[in-house]
Amino acid sequence: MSLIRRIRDTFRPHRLDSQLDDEFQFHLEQRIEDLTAQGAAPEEARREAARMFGNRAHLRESTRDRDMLVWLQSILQDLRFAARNLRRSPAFTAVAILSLAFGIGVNAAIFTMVHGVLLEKLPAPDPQRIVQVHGHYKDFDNDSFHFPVFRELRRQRAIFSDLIGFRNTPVLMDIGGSVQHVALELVTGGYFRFFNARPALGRLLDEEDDRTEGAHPVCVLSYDAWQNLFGGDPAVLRRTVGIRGIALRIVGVAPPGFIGAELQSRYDLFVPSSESHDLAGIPRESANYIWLRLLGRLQPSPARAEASARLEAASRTIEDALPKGRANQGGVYRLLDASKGYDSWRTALHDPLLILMGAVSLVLLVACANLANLLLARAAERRQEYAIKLAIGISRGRLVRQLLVETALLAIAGGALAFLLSAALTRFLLAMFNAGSDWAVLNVSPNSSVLWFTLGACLITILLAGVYPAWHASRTDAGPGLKASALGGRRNLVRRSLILVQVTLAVVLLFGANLFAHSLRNLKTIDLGYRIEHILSVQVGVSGTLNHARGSVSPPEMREVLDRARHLPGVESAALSVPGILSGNMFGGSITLTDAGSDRRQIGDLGLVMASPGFFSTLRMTMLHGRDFSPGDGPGAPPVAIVNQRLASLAWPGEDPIGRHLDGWNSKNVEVIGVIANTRDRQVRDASAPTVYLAFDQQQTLGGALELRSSTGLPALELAVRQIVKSAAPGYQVSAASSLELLRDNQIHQERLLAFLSSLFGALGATLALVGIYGLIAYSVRRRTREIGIRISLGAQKRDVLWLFSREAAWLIGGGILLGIPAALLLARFVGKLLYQVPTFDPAGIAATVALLALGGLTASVLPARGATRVSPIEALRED
Amino acid sequence: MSKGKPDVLQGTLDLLILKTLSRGRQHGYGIAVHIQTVSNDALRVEEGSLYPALHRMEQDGWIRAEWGASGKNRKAKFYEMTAAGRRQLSAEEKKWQNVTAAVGTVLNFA
Repeated sequence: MSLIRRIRDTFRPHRLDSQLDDEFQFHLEQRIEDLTAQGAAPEEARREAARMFGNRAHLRESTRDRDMLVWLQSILQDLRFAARNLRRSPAFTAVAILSLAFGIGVNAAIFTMVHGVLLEKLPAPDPQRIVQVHGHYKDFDNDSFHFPVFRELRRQRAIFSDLIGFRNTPVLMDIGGSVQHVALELVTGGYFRFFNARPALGRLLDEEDDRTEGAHPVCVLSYDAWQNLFGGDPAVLRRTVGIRGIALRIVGVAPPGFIGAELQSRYDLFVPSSESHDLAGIPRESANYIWLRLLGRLQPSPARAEASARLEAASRTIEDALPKGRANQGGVYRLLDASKGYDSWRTALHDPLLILMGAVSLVLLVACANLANLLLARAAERRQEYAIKLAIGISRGRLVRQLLVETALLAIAGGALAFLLSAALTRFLLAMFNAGSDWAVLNVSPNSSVLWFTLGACLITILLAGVYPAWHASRTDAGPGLKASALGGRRNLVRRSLILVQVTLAVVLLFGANLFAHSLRNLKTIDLGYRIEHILSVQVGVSGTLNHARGSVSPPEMREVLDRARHLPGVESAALSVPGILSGNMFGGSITLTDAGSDRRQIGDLGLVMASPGFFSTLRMTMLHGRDFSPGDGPGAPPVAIVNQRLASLAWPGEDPIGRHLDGWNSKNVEVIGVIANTRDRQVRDASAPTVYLAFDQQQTLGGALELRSSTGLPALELAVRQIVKSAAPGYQVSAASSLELLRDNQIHQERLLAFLSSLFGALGATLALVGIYGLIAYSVRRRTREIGIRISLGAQKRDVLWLFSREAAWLIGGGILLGIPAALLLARFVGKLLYQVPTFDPAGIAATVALLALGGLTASVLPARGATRVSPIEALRED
Repeated sequence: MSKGKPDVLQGTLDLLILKTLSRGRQHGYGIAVHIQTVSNDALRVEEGSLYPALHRMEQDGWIRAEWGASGKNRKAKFYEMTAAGRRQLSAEEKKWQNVTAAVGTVLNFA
């Protein structure tokens, strides 16, 4: 309390003074009264009282100091002084604040991401004990399980105090006639209790809602869905929503900001896992559907490593208790840390984020060097002022403090601006992160940690950039400092070194940016085996389908859609396929060779695609042998297939595959009619798998992807196709529509982001370094005006004067490049695994970086140096 | 410094002020007069030390101040002892007694 009052009093010294005066006045008057009472004359009493009281002004000051924090008061003085000084040199102030704002701003923005993705704990009780279950099988790993596994694991009471299962799936939801695309979270009964969540409205789900399969058609809305889809209407509790014809009663609303098991995901409604069959086509008790993700909370002991080892040891017992003949047999169960939420892609973002954090740290270093350089130049120009101050008795400590306060003021102003900048940049980054994905929503926002981070960055800036210049300035000698022309050579050495560091860091940043840009270029120019330009892909399906549900063979609705789409204006060709090119999905499977002499050999790990006639030509794939599917290959005709080159050489090495037979998917004795060149139809990055293409019209499907090659604009075409689906295919919905180019871009999202951000940071670092060079040369031109005047009067040409200054810049840039290249090559090794077929030693990249910096650096030095060539020798010599 | 009326020993001023205020609230002038009177003019508190001491003790939380009306209805700043001040007083008293006892022992020994 006392401290607060002292601080308060510090800010209103006048009020304090007048109160002291009142108190002293009373004292004096009492004394006068007493003296008068003792018989003194009034005039004498007044004199005596004043004499006894002593120096009133002095007493007021010494008393007031008790009431104020003296240091705070003098810092306030320093602050006012610093603010006045900064206002007097707006160019310096603007450059300093902007360098800092950008330097700190990008750091805060990236830190916001790092914090949200890598550091923040799941908002649930005891997050440090939360684990996710990981299944390790003979040939693969899997993080999804069938429901019976969940039931068995929950019995491991010695390990788990709590275990929940969940599965996110996109569905179409009918709200009173309007159909919405929503994210459905199927959850086991203990889900909400696990997070200790309290309902915003109604109630949440519990174990009672999850007992009997198909008997609990209830749902809980997410807070956002309640607000966005129902306008926050409290009467929502009396309503139902429809999914796949099932009416679900809304029983409650989850609390605002409830994020479930993943820190970054979108949910619209939560439904008990008992409804999985009706809503997602997954029979819950079946041991063939691998769908449930598991999150557990460990018992207080043992620790995770020990618990994981015990679970692993118990795997055999758990496996034995499960139904026979299930999918994914013989698994070993392990536990992974999930204190920051279920990890579906945090690990994937770990390295990119840390690399970006490293890059922005370098940017901040460049900004600090810039600020230090500006401060040194300023200090050099203010040598006379310091000398005078020291001469009239200011202590060196106070002088250092004044200068540090000036730096601090800059850092605070820069920091405040940086915070605003980072908020904008974070929004922009999120938009980029989430572009092209409706479901995995990275949802982070600046919070107190980010604020602390920004403050910390400011403090570090003051320490890095402010201390040396301030200390240096305080060592000004009062005597020689008063002479204006005294020049310090050492200081320039420091300033040059700072520029050297800046250029070096800029080289590293630009080099890194070039690597990521190169990687992106490689990904964009990969030969996919088909042409993605001018192709629209529209996913048409029965609402709420999962891959496991069965469909019908050659449904007339889909045939009708294809037929009408082919006749749309501008459409050159169209085809249907499942699962759709570049959709990221793939049906895996195996085939059995059935010809005599092939011993019914089985070939597994195949890609499986269903394609209609015209699929290969629409995509401009290369048919190597045989023929395409034709309209004759219909439901009644003998089943046919086309294989890709890899499968051909795997199944019939050195032989002609045409006319061979195989069993696969649901078809027997399928005849191979063609061989197609290898393509990357699932993922840009995956080399093509051995793939078998089956005739779309001969297989059971639940819709498919309509691929159209068109010469007209794709958005207009998309609208037309949606119209066709609506009118020609009742019961079918367009679930997604996109150009193949966009699908490709979404697959290389991370690379695009890295390339963009590293270029941004490279440009920022380089700009700051160039501003630094500009500042150094401009300062040097100012300082050497007299010298230039003498040179010009002695006959120096403009070219000579330009060269005088550019030479200095050239040395610094050259030196920085020489230092930067090995540093960049060293650091490039850390980003190697994020690059796609880019050698870390990239001569073209090095050349581009060098050319860019050399050009920019020379420009930055010639601009101020041109001012020097205009120096008039007469005026220059008249100075001083 | 006036002769015959030694200034209060540095460090004992707090003790004297606290002791004075233990009798009830008082303004600065009253404290000075009280100490002088009670000590039969032997101790005189200089204004130059009294007011800084009062304000320091107020910041330390031993006493608190309040504006009020004096006997002749004039505005005056009154000081009053706090609980912390009471504790401080008893500690200072004990210290003082220890010191005087020690000094007495030394004097008697010689």
